[in-house]
Amino acid sequence: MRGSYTFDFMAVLRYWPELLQGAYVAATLIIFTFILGTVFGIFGAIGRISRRRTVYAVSTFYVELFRNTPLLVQMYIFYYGLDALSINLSAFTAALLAMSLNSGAYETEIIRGGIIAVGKGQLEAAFSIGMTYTQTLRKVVIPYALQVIFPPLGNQFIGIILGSSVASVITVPEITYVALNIGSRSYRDFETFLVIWVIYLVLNLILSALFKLTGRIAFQPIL
Amino acid sequence: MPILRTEKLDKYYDKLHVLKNVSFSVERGETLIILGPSGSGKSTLLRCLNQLERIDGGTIYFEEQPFTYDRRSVYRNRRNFGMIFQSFNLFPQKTALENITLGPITVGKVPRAEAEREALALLEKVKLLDKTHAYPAKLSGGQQQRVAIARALAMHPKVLLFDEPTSALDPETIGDVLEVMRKLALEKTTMIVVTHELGFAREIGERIIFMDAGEIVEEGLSQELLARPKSARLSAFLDAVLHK
Amino acid sequence: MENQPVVIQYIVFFAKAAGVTLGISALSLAVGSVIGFGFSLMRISKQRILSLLTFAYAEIFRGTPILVQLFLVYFGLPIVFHINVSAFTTVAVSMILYTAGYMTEIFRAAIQAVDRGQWDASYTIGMTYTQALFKVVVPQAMRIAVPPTLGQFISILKDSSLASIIGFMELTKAGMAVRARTSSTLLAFTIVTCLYFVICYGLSIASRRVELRLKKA
Repeated sequence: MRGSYTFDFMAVLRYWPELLQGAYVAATLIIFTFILGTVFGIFGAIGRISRRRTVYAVSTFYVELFRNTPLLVQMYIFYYGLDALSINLSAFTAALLAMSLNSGAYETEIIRGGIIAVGKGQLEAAFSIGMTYTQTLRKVVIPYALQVIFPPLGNQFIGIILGSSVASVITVPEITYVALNIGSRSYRDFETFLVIWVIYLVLNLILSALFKLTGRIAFQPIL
Repeated sequence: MPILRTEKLDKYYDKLHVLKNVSFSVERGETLIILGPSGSGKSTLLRCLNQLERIDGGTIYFEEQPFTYDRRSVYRNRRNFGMIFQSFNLFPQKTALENITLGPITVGKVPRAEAEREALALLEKVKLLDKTHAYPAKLSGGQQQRVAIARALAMHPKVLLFDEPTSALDPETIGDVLEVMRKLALEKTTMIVVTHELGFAREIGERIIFMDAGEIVEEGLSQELLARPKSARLSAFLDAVLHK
Repeated sequence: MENQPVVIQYIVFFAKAAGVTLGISALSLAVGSVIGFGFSLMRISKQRILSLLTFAYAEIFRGTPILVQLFLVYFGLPIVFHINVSAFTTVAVSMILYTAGYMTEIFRAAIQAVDRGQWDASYTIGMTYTQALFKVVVPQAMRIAVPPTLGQFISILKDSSLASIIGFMELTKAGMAVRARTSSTLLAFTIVTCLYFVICYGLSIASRRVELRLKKA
C-alpha cells in the first residue's frame, strides 16, 4: 500500500522515564567499563613492555585476542558461554566483563604508547641534571605520558559509549534495549530509533567537546 | 620595458606585516639576486610573483600588464614563470623523465613523443641523461634539483624563480647546480634568485636586492653592493654570513 | 551434501558463513570507499557548504553506534520504500553508509598528508587545481591511505557480526544457529571465535607487512 508515512514522535517521547532509566544503566555500564578497562590496560601495558617472555606472551595474546574478535561474540561468550559452564552471570556483569576486557586490550596499546613516547632521551636528560628515579617518574615521565595518552583515551571512551549499545543484545536494559522495547510497544520503531540516534550523537558531541576542553586546560603549557 | 615590475607591494600574514612597500623591477635577460636574513620576506616575495600567494596592496606588472586574480588569469600568468624550490618538490612516483614531461603533456597538450624528445634534450643540458628513468628517491639532492630545473624549463617560462635552490644541499653537490644556473645566466635567461650563497651572487648576479624585515633596504650592482655596503643592516648581514 | 559425515557438513556451513562475512565486508569497503572518496573531495573543497555537509555526514556515522544505525535502516527502509527489504539489503545499505563515513575521513587525512610542496610544484608548471589534485596529489594520497583502509576493513569484519541480530546469516549467526541445533554452546563459540581471530589477526599481520613495504619504496 503506497501512502505517505506520518511521523509521530510524541508516541516515543511519552516514554521518557524508560529512556532515562536506560540512560542511567548505560552510564553505569560505560563508567565502570572505563575504570575497569583502564586497570586492565595498565596491567596489560606493563606486560607488553616486560622483558620476561611469559608475561609478554600472555599480555600480547590477551591484546590480540580481544582486538581481533567482535565485541558481540565476546559478550555472547560471557553471557551464554559461561552459563553453559554453570557460571551464571547477570546480563550486566557479563556485559561489563566483556566490554572492560575489550576496552582494556585497546587501552593496553594506548598506555604502552604513552610509556614508549616518553623515551629514553627525556629520562637521560632528567638523570643528568641530578633527579632521582622517583622524581623523574613523577615530574617528567607521568605528566608527559598522560599528555600523550589523553586524546586516544578520549576516543576510547567514545568507543565504549558506542559499544554499550551492543549490550542490548544480551538483554542489558540500556538505551538501545529500551528503544527496542518502546518501539515494539508503540509500533513506532523508526521514530524511536531516530530519537535515540540523536541522543547518542548529542552525547558524543558534548563529551568530545568536554574532553578537548579538559585536555586544553590540564595540559596548557605554563607561560 | 622591464619584463617584471612591482609597485608598492604589501602583504600581511594575520597581523604580521611581511612585505612593506616593496617596489623593484627586473629587465629581460637579467639575473637578479635577492639577499636577506631568515624572515625577511624574500621567499614570500618570490611566491607573490607567480601568484602562489596573494598580495594585500600594490600591483605587480608582467610585461607592463597588471596581475589580476581571477582563476583563469592566474593559471595563464603562472605559465610565464618557472619555479625551483628549496626542497625540490619532485613528484616521487614518477621518473626523472616523467617529472619533466608531465607539465607539457598535461598542461601544454604536447604529444608524448615530442615532450619526451624535449625532455631528453633538457636532461642532457643538466647533465643527467644517465638518470632519465631514475626515481627521485634514487637521486642525490643536487641531481634532484637539476631535474627540477629541467622540469621548470620544459614549460618554456619567460622568467625563472629560484627559492633558495642550494640551501638544502650538501656542499659537494651545490657545485653541479650552480653550474647549471651559471649556464642559464650566460644564456640570458631572466632569473630571480633568492639565496644566501654570496659567492654565486657575486659571480652571476648582475643586480642585488637586499631585504630585511619585509622591506628593500639596499639595491644595486652586485660587485658594488657586496664590496661597499651602504647600510648598517647589510654590513651586519654580510659579516654574519662571511663568518659562518 | 546430506550424505557427507556431519563434521564435514558443519565445516562447510561455517566456511560459507565466513565467506559471507568476508563478502559483505568487502562489498561495504568497495562501495563505501567510492562514496567516501567522493565525499573527501567535497570535504576539502573551498565551498563551505560541501565541506560542512560531508563533515556532518562523517561525524554522524562515526559518532553513533552501528547497531542503532542498523536498526534505523531496518525499520526505516520499509517505511521509505513501502516494501519489505531483505536482511541482506538492510545490512548492505547500513554498512555501506557507515563505511562511507569512515572512508571520507581516511581519504581526507591522506590527501592533506601529501606535502604542500607537491601542490606548489604542480601549480608552477601551470596545472589547475583539478589537474594537480588528480594527476599528482591523489595518487600519492592513495598510498598513504592503504594502511588505515586495511585497518578499517578489519573493523568492518568485526562489525558485520551485528548483522546477525536482524537475522542475516553470517559467521556469528552461524555460530548461534549451530549452538541452537547441537546445544554445544562452547564448541560453537570456540569455532566462531577462532575463525574471526584467524581472519582478523591474519589481515593485521599482512597489513603491517604492507605498511613496511610502502615505507621502503
